[in-house]
Amino acid sequence: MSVQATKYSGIFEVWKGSKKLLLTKNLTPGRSFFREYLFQDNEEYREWDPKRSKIAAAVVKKINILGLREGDKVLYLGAAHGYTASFVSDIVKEKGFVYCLDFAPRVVRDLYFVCEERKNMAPLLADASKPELYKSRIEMVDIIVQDIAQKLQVEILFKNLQFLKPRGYILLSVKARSIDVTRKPAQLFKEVEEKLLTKLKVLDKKDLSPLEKDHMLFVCQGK
Amino acid sequence: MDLREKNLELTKQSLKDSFTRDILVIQTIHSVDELSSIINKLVANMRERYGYFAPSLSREEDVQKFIESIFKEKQDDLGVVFRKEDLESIQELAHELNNVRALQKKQEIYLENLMKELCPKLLETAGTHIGARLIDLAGSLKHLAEIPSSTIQVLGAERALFRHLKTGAKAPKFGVIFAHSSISGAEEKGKAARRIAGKISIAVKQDYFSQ
Repeated sequence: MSVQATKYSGIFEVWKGSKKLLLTKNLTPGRSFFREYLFQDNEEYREWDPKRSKIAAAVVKKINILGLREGDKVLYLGAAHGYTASFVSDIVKEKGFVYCLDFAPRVVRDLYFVCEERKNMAPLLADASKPELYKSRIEMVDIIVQDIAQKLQVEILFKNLQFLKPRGYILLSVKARSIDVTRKPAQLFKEVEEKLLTKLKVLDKKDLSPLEKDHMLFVCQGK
Repeated sequence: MDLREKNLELTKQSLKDSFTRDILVIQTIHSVDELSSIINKLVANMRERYGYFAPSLSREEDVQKFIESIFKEKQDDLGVVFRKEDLESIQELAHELNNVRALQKKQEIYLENLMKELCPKLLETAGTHIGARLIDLAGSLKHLAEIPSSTIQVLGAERALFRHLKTGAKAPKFGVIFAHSSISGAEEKGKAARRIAGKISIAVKQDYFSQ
């Protein structure tokens, strides 16, 4: 069985036994950063585990649109060790760029090593809720990806919209548990969507269960 | 300079700047806990093995006495005959175990010295183990100084706390501070926990804000 392209730009799939694997073309051939499986088929691909990545989970759940294209500049808020960010960097390729931001020093240490080897990634150790502190270190981007487990997730996104080009895309993964553990996720997601609609267009949303519990991925576009 | 290189350079610097010495407290208490678990497992394993040769000695509860008895090579009525190499192998293990126990003591002394330097008041009120665990659970000395004493009281009892918030079950009265001698020995443990948490809170604030 050979590698098939999916409807999402830069994302491929292949059948391995009875399992379907998600793949991206490896930008750094021969190098695997998170012990992910490397698949050879003329070119080298990296396996993208939907259990470790919310964007991959949304692809498995057949989200309508992702907005990620080759050559895009991306601002990734909450990049952590850089797992998902490294696949985003595979998708946008050499012409694109991923600014990876996280504010926990320990994970940025791991992220640093990934960014050092991948020429289209850069790390930032900064607080996403204080954009004025890293304003000078990034440029305008086509896509904002946000995956932070904070209470004020949506407000933080709004503060960062200043970096988004007109009609740029937003991939926002909302964790209901970190907004309020005592309330029902469905209710919280509804409130988040209402808040998003005041400033953005919501193109699609997907509940990520069972791959990720109480998470919803919103795909939005700037007006 | 292009943005990528600038960011790599700046991140490298801020990673270095983000280090504080309380991280060493957290890492050292992890090492101490890990050594404890290694020692417990090895002792249990040696009791099993030595038990064939000297069943009554391997029931000795004091670990130090048990290890010493291994070197005395005294066979029990109930025990079977061990060859020389059988005993020697156990003794080799016991010897190394003694080293590990000494290592753990040294790590604990280092931890205590570290805390004397960083948080002397916390060390005085909570002791080495509880103090270090509290810093670990809070994430940093800074955060421990910022959270209210009611949170300090239930640090380490997160499962019970969130069960309480979600389902309305009874609230936990103490977390890791339960190991404090004036709580575990107290008549009314909830009250004692609240007061100790208050004192710890004051101590940490003094430590952190006087630096």
